[in-house]
Amino acid sequence: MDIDDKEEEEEEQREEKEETTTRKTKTKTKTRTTTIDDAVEVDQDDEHLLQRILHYNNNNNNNNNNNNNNNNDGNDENRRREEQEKRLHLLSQGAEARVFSTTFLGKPCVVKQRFRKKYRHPVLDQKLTRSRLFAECRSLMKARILGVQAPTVLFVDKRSSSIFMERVEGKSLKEVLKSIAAEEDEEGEEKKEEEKTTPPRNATAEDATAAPSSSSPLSSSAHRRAVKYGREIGLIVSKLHDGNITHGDLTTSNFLVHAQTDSIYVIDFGLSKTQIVGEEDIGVDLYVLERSLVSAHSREGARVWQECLRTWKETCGKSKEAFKRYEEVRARGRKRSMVG
Amino acid sequence: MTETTTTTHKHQTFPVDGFENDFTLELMLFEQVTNAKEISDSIKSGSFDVEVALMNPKTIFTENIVRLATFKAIASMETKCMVTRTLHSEIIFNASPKTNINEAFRRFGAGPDSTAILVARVCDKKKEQIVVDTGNSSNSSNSEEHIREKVRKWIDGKEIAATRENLQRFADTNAIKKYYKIDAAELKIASLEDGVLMRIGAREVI
Repeated sequence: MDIDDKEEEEEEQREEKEETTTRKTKTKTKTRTTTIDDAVEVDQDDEHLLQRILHYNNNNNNNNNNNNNNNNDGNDENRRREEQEKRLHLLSQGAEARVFSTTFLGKPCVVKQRFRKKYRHPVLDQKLTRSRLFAECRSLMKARILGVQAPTVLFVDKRSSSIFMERVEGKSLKEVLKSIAAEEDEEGEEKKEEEKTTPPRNATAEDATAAPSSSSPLSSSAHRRAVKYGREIGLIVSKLHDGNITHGDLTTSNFLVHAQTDSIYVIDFGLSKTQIVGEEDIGVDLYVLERSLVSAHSREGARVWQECLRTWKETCGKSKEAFKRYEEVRARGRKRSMVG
Repeated sequence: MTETTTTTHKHQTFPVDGFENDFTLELMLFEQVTNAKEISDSIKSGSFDVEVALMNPKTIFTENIVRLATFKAIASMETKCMVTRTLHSEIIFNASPKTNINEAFRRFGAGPDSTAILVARVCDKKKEQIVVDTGNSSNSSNSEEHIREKVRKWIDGKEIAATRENLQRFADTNAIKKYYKIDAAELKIASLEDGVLMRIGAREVI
């Protein structure tokens, strides 16, 4: 999901726009599909479910606009907010799928929809998309059965090849690590300033020795958080590997830190493997995680990674053989052969 | 979340979003039922003219499970891939983690020896009539309350509020864990309800 190939994205979006215009001319005779919004246009069969939701959403959208012009009661306001939540909002778009947020059965929900690729043969495209959709669902379920926190699958729509999942409220680990680093820097500076500006109440030798240690609790709270996340991630990864799953894309943006419980969720099993998991896959999994942690967030990331690897070594049953392979992978890079 | 429940109403209604028609799901819960055998016989023979799904509250953990099963049933009705004959039987079938119809009805439908029954009924808000696949239009003019009254007369038992708490009171968690194959490792990270929802939601995938 998080392949940031901007050019490709732009091209895809351009393609979509073209499609919408052509589709609109095509479907003018069908009254049902003419109301589809360009922003959340989905190119798939006419009758699939996601489009029905879109249709529903658009209908309400129009009604709301009418209501808006006529009267603006508090009751109306409530209703409008409710309807607003039912609509689809595009959260992000990658190379394989689009992620929308909406509500499903009264719960906050996320829809991951794999779109059709025009450059592939339609039959091949359908087969690939379907097998990937199913593989992702299976991995998500298997991960949960193994006791790894991942979003609940609520509904799978084969026609639009989309997964309806529970929405995990929280930030990605990437953002959290960034904010920890920023906080640490800020607090560190403030401490230094405080030491300079506020004269100690009792300027004794005792205070002078206490001053450097007083700045450490702050950095140690950041340290403690990093260690906590590292341990959780290590446990998650070892559970997955012991249960014969490799995630395939263990990056900091694929870990979510829950807003309330501060525990870590894994998302995006789009590249995961469930059947044959070799040492190579495990080694690559670890290597990708290390690169993502250490290269992007130097200080916090390194702490998290240290703790994560330690926990993984302790808990994972395959750690001995796989660790060797991980070091090999590390020496040569992710791809086994660099030809082509 | 627009559950319209007041103290006078014991039934609960839920909107089923995502379809062209405004479907709503209505739940009624009965306990101390004495005529379960007659009821299940009449629903099998089709002599009762209101179409409902009779579910077993022992294995239906919460209302959300019925909501998801109903959503899936309507989705398969709309895409014309229903496995059972009617929409309401499709709801019971969809509450099961397996694709065995017989087993689904035995475990999640109300049987002749049930003492508690959960009645699930799908109505189409726009048309103000129940969805009947057999094309029986004799009750199309009936109002919602009239239909409810009919169900109350039909089932010889005490109606209690179809709340989440009441449903969970009836639930046999051990049986639910067994039927849906939910073990301790999963329950550490998620609720039993989530586990059941996941197995219903992604049933086709396994």
